[in-house]
Amino acid sequence: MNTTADILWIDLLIGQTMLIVPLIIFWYYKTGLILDTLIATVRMSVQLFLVGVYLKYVFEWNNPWINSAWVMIMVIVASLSISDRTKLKHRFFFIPNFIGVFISLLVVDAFLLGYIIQLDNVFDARYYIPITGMILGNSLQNNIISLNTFYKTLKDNLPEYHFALAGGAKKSEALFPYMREALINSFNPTIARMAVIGLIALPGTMTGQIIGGSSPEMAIKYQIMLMIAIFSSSVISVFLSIWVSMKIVFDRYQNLNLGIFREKRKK
Amino acid sequence: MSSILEIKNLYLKAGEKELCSDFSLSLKKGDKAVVEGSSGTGKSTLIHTILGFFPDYKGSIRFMDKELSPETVHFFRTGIAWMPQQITFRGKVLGFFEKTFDFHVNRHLRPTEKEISDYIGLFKLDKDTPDKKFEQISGGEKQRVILMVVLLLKRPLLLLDEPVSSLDEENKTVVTDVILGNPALTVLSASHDKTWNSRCTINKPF
Ligand SMILES: Nc1ncnc2c1ncn2[C@@H]1O[C@H](COP(=O)(O)OP(=O)(O)OP(=O)(O)O)[C@@H](O)[C@H]1O
Ligand SMILES: [Mg+2]
Repeated sequence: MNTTADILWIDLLIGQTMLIVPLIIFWYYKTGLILDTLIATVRMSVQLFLVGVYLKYVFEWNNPWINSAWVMIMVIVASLSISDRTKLKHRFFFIPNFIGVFISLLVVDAFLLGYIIQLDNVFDARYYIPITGMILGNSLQNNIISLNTFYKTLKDNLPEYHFALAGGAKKSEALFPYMREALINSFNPTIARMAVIGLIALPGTMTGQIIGGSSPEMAIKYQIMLMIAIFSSSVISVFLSIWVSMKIVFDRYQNLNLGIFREKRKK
Repeated sequence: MSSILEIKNLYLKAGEKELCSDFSLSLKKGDKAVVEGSSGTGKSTLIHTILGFFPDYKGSIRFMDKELSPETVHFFRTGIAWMPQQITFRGKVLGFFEKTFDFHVNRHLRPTEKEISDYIGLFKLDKDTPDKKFEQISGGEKQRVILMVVLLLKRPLLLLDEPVSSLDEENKTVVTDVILGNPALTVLSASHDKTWNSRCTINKPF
């Protein structure tokens, strides 16, 4: 695998100047996204750098406990960043997000690593960590969109929700349209993207594996399995997060606690 | 006979504003009550409170001998038919109808096409009203559509929030006759309307 061409550190820095173009566009249209973009880029770079250093050791030790602790940290950070990107308060949504993300990972990881790839050691760092990371990273967007859609649509249509309750609907019946809308909004783009994979999009893992020297055939098998794992785990975690949050953010009369919404993000 | 609805010493607050401090009301079967008062005095809030949407009250609210509480709120919401002052619905009028009767507790009441078209005739609505978008029909049409749902639910108590506010004289008379002229119905309404209010049997200032 030494055939892979390395990127020089200096070239990596020069490569980052590519960002100037999107920043100019964001600036022109007064999107208020510039600072966020810069912070996100710096965070991404620093985090990846640290992870690179860290992973070197993790791979050397390859201890199930350390590996699991690492995954746990990823789950916690993912849960926090979901409520961070929605207009909802951590106080109410950390636990639902955590439960949704954690359980969906558990199910999908066990099936994928334990049964399909048939690892002797499910916690083998080489598989466990990158695959879990991929699944997590990709379901994040779905979680954000669905939570936002669910609670925003509900808030914007409170009279409709109240009319359903007063009509005798059980809570689950009254909330049905909002869950439906959240799922549609969040997964429509995902499905569309999945439908064109290979045609107009070469996914990250596959690209990585091929650049890394694997045969395209093996890369494809992994890619298919991963796509399905990511998709399933996203749907499970979206459903679970909303479902658990439904137990927390309504009072005993099924009224929505309007204190769950954060004030508008400052520019 | 005991009362259908019994409100005692109700104290209501919206934010810092006190809406009522000692409101009492008792409704027996067949009673037609209206709470009157200028805009913003809290009539709609009173109705919301009875349905459990505003649990922050003091006093007693009993419906068919049950005190409003988290355990009984579903009993209230399956025994009371509510006509809200304003409502949004994203879909067709027919969908608005069907939605309420899709709920488990109402399935056995699902209206037949004939029942619907009878009401459409009675309330002088266009025949194609069910196919229109709910948000595109007029305020007065919405009121009559909601009233159809409320009546088709055949519940022991009707809570009507401004039932005739957007209706012309002719329709107002029809609706008033159908509801206030029916001795079997028990009604608590909030209204500014002279025609409606003069035909109610209990008039409460609010
Ligand atoms: N959630 C709330 N928080 C604070 N104030 C509220 C809330 N809901 C209602 N109010 C206030 O309570 C008062 C009563 O409102 P309500 O809608 O009950 O009046 P109303 O008597 O039905 O008026 P109208 O005749 O115009 O329908 C209003 O001043 C309103 O601004
Ligand atoms: Mg009102």
